[in-house]
Amino acid sequence: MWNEKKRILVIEDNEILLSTMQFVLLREGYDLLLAKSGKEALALVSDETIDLVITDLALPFANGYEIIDRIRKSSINNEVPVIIISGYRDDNSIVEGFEVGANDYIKKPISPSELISRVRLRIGHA
Amino acid sequence: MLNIFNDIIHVVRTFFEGRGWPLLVTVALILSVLFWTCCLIGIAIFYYRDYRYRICYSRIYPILRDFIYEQVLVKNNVSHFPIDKLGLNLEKRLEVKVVRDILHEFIRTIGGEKGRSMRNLFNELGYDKEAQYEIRHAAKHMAPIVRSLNDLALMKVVVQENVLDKLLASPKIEIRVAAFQYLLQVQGEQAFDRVFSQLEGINELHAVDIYQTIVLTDYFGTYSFSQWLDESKTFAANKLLMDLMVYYQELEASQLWKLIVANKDMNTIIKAVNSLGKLLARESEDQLRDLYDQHQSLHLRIEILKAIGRLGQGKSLDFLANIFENSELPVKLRKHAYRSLITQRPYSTMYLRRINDNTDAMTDRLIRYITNPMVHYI
Repeated sequence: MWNEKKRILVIEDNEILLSTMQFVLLREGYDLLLAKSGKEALALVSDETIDLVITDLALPFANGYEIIDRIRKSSINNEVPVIIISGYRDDNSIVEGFEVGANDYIKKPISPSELISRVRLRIGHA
Repeated sequence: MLNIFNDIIHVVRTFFEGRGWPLLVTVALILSVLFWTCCLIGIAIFYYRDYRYRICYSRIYPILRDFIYEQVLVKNNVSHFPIDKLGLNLEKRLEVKVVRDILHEFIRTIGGEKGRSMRNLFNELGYDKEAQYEIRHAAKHMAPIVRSLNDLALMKVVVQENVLDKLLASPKIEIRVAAFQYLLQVQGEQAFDRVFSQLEGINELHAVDIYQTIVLTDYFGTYSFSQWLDESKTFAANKLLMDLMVYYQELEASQLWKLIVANKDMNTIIKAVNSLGKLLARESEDQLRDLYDQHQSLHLRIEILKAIGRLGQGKSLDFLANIFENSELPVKLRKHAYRSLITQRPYSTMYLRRINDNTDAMTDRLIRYITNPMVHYI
């Protein structure tokens, strides 16, 4: 029986963070889709089947909250777990993230091992 | 004197009659050409340096990234990195700057144990010593000192007290603020007294930087920020302290009222009222209503209405309803009065029902405008 890899959509405009998450998650065996802006992310969300979304909040064209909102209202992927990774540390940003439908919130700077643990918690091993 | 005056008139007249260039015009033309040449050369140098930096960055970034991934993420090295394997010429100033900037970005992005490993890599490359050298010897140049203090703060490297004292006494405010940020990141709460006692000269952007630095540390405690509030301080300094009071919920209404009563500048009063609301200073509601009557400033009145709304005690329902129902008042005031009534539910339910039942077309439209979820920031 062919076991398909779990697919994660990573939305991040910071080149270093994006490439680091790409490196860490690929090593863990996950299949990745990468987006550097809200626009790219929304196109992927409406076209591809995704197991998990990891998104930044401050993004060009559409911010993280709008992306999560669109995901929750879309016909496919509307139940996909979402992890926010953001430099915003204030309570309002975190609460708003959960209110729009995020499942987890990681504050920057991120620890790669923590990221992997939280991803596994949501979708299991690759 | 008269002769000189006559000469000047003569040369100007000669010029306008088309019979020659007066010396003054010639000099002005030469200076103008020189000025624009210098500007263009400056712009060209700026673009050339930026171009060289980007070329160097795009060459070094993949090398350093792969090195970090291999050494830190794969091999889990924490120290003794094989720096010679990098294959970079770290004697060149530009390369050193690029490597420092890239490492900075990595350290800011990746935390936890891996972040600590990258700090060690930074130190093994000798940048901590370089930064220490720069803060001692680049006395006249602000940018390297500020950058080096940022580096040292990020690496948590301890700087000697006498060096810090010199930086804190610098006539340049940017250096003093960088030293504040260093102290706050490295020493945390222990640096509070030292920083807050020397806030003279900071502007609002500096205040935001210091605020961000503090809230990004792990500090959470009972430090009294309000003890440093003082009407003799600038708005930026007091604003920083009030923002910190709100963030750490230090409810010390009496200190805020001292600022309001001192009546120094409207921005400070507005900020103090805003803080009272966000701190839920419930015993201040009566005073806030009195303050509304004492001042005509629209911005202050709006802030008072917002603060009363935040307190949400239902003690000012008549006051708010009267403001909303007074059609002679500015729409902005009426809008905030209605919003505050909404936030005082369930106390205000009867008032809202009464207003909604006895409304004319204009008021009805205003209520629908205020309650429209698409209307933000009202």
